[in-house]
Amino acid sequence: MTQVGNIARLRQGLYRFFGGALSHPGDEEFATLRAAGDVLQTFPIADFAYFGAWRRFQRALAGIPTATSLDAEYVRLFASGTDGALCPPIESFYVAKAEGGGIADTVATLQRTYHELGLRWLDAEAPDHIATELNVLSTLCGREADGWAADDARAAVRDLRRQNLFLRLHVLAWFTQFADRVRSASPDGFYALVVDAVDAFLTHDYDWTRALIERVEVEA
Amino acid sequence: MNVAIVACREQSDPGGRDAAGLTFVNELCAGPRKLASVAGADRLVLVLHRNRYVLAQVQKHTREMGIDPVGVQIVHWDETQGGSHRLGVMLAGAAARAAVTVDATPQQVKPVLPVRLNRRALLSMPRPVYSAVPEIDRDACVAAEGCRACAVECPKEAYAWSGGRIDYDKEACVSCGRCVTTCPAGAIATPAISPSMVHAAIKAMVEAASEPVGVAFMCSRRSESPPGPGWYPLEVPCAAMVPGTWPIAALILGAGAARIVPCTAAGCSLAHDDVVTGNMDVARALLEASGIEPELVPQSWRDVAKTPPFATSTLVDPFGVEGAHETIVTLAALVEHEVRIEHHRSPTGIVEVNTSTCTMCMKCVSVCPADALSQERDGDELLLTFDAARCTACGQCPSVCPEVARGAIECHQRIDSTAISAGPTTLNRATAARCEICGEAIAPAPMMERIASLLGNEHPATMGYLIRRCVNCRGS
Repeated sequence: MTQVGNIARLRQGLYRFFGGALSHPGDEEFATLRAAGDVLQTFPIADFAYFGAWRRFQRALAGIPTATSLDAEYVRLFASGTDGALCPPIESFYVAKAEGGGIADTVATLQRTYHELGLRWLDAEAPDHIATELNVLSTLCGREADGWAADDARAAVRDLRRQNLFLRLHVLAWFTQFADRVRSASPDGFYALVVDAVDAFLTHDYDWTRALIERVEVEA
Repeated sequence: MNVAIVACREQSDPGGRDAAGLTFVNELCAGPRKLASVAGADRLVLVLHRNRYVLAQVQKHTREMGIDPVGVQIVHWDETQGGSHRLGVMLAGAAARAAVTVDATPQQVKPVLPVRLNRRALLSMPRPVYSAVPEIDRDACVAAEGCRACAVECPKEAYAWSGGRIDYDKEACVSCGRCVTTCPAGAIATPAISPSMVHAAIKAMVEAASEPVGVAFMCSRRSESPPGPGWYPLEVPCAAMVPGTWPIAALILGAGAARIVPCTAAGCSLAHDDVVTGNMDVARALLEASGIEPELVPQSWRDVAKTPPFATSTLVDPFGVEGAHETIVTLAALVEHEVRIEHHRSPTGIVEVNTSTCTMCMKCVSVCPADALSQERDGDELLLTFDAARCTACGQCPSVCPEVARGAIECHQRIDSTAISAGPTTLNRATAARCEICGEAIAPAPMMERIASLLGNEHPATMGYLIRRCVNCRGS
């Protein structure tokens, strides 16, 4: 495996991990999340600029005793309230409002994109939920890593392009607004640290994929 | 703020080891993981040997310490540069600078990878190095009013103005920082350099030195130090980002000399020497106009003056968005006479209006990014006012003036201490033509007169409506 392939595996794990952190925290999922965090700690994350935000989040995660203690906060921020969720973690809430389209348009676009990528939406969350979108990116990183492992730079770069495009057209088109809402609604809470870490990682990953796409030489 | 100063113990200068607050670590350049032994610091100054450390490793281990590596100040030192006193002055500057650094946001860093990655490079790709890049404060940016100063200044076309918004391409950016000092709204910031970092470093070096200090604004990518004695580097992302008033501010803060060091001879591919030379010209012309020896801002290395040209004076924010104006006014006060020059790299400007051709349409006001031009009211009159203390000579105002061909407005790239001190002045005034039915203002009278002169006698009925009635009453 090339070094860049190892990094793709790390990114695959981080996307899956962050997707889990922004899903509803059941007992089993929470235990898995913790275990995944411990595994990811063994990767050289300190090589990357998002390490500081990642570590703050990891430390906060270690201090959470059970999933139950996050349940109320998750529901208050992301699930429901008297006037709806404070910070809906779904793309259509932000993008449909900005572009004047309907929620169904955003979801339909995403489902079409998943189909084109050869993915089937099986997640518990909605197609435009942040956890779903992060899991899609995780899958694309896994494919990229497979490409590097097979010494197929062309396939790997194709998947890098897909990641970069999906980040630009979908996740980054709304994540900043979502994160600002979370920070505002719960400035000292656990989920503010989660969105800080995801924000740092997504920003870095967009730059990372773009830099690789521009630089990797694909042989004819 | 706890600033730790950590030096690699290959130092051969024994005096340097006595400098207050200095922690030595054996072979730090080769093994930056030893930084873990330095606990409790918020900010870091590292004294390292040039070309003997790997920056990516230093950044990694700094990150593990919980310190943002972008804010770490690295002082390159070896015994050929001088004795312990010189090191002490450099460390004072670096520590002061480190103390006021602000952590980078995720948008303010980017990974820098090798230019091409072939199969072999992919197998053993080195750790990424991160470089600081600028970030636009969208709330402060005035691109919606037409400002595109950053796009004009950027040598790599990393900025593009489109539909009232500036798009920034991080990948194209080379972190030269010219956009930061050009933005008339102060809306662009980079963690690599800030007004407070420059200010703190100069003050600390002047205070720490026992002799007059020469401040050399130098590109941080240069591989050599100033050929002392007396000259100390103040590293900036690119020498071309340093406006002509910065060396003057350094002198006012107590430096004995100051210069901006061009880079083309050192192999810089950006080749900004024309900009650097222009900014140096501005500084020297300012000194000359003030009756002060221009060689205090020398074009080549020379001895630093034995005594600073001024008693150290207070400047509040000489390197900030309005710092050029503050520096000029302070300079004029120190020499007790007017300072006035005209130069194509002037960081300040003077707007003049020809009252016989200006129609008071106020388009210039709507695009002025620094709010130097504004519209006021004085009873029944409209006033076009100008505050030279805000003008950055961006040239937006003549570019949108519909009467510029008739000389209605001019933006001079001029430094004029009297005008800057004067406060807002009225450039033009006019009464409004009022609706004969409701009494509402229709438009400034000179604008109506101009329209009438253009239409002539061909459309008297249309003119009658336009001049006498407002939009709402034209159907009455």
